[in-house]
Amino acid sequence: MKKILFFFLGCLPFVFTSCNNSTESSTASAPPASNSMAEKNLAASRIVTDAFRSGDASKIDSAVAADFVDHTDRGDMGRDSLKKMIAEIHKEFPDMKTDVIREVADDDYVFSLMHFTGTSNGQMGMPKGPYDMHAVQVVRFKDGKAVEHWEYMQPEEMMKMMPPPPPAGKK
Amino acid sequence: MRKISFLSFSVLLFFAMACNNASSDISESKKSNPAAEKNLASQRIVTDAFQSGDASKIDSAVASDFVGHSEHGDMGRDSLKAMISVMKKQYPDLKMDVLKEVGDDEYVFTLIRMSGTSNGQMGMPAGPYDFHSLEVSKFKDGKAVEHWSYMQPKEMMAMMAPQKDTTKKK
Repeated sequence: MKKILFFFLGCLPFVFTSCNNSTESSTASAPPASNSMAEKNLAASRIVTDAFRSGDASKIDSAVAADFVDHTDRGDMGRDSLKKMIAEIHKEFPDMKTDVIREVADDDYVFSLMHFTGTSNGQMGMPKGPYDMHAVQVVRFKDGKAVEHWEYMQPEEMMKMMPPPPPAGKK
Repeated sequence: MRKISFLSFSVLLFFAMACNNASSDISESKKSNPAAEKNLASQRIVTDAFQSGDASKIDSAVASDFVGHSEHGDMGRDSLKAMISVMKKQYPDLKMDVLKEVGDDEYVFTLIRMSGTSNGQMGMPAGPYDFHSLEVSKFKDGKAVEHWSYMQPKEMMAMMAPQKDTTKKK
């Protein structure tokens, strides 16, 4: 009987520990071993999100692979361009608030649904004034580091941000 | 002694459950999360309906108070059903490849590659198309309650550009 009790008491800290671990890295409650890759990807993804918030790209190399490719509307970019963009965005949009609504990950991908709010100074293709928009960051990982990124946006919100098209018939 | 081990056992269960609740906020494991599995299954019913044009199973996967957020405004479950058949009619050769689907107990993200030929209807320029769409659905009690479609700005702009040309030629 004593053995059984010890077994349960022994289990309790384990549950606590696994609970703490999974809460810290905010992942599911499944056995950590089966999710370690997804957890690692989520942790790397958060380093990038934090870098965009702070403007500090110094930890990017620990989360993003050297051969990282960022698929943007202005063409593909590499890790160095990403670092530059982190500093630039923070400079041009100093009051940007990034709320992560949801992050879901598996062994290869992390999807992060984000809500951005703030005021634009008219730079970087964003009309001057307040903005309020959503984006989903789709990031592919390999060995716990980001290797590819795509940004998805809501067509409705995107159209609002674009300059009105020239009137039909006029050049 | 028996009481104590029973107590320990229930405490263990309680913490295991509390742990489930505490970390349900963000998850990645569809295998170990029945709610996530249910949501993924419901999402697949919707994806299948768009592929087949058959909306008869939609009520089993989509809540009656569902809201689909689109650039044409919000729409309900009946509009969704109507759209499923309209899409099939207007885009009979639409091919939907699900590249990735991940879900937790509240959200499902489905990354889809859409390809086919447009007849020029429904705001899509005539000719072949090939783009990605990211479907974000929110679930409650295993049924979809909200939906948003996300696109790649680059692909969206590519689809809009030829349209302007058509207008100019008029």
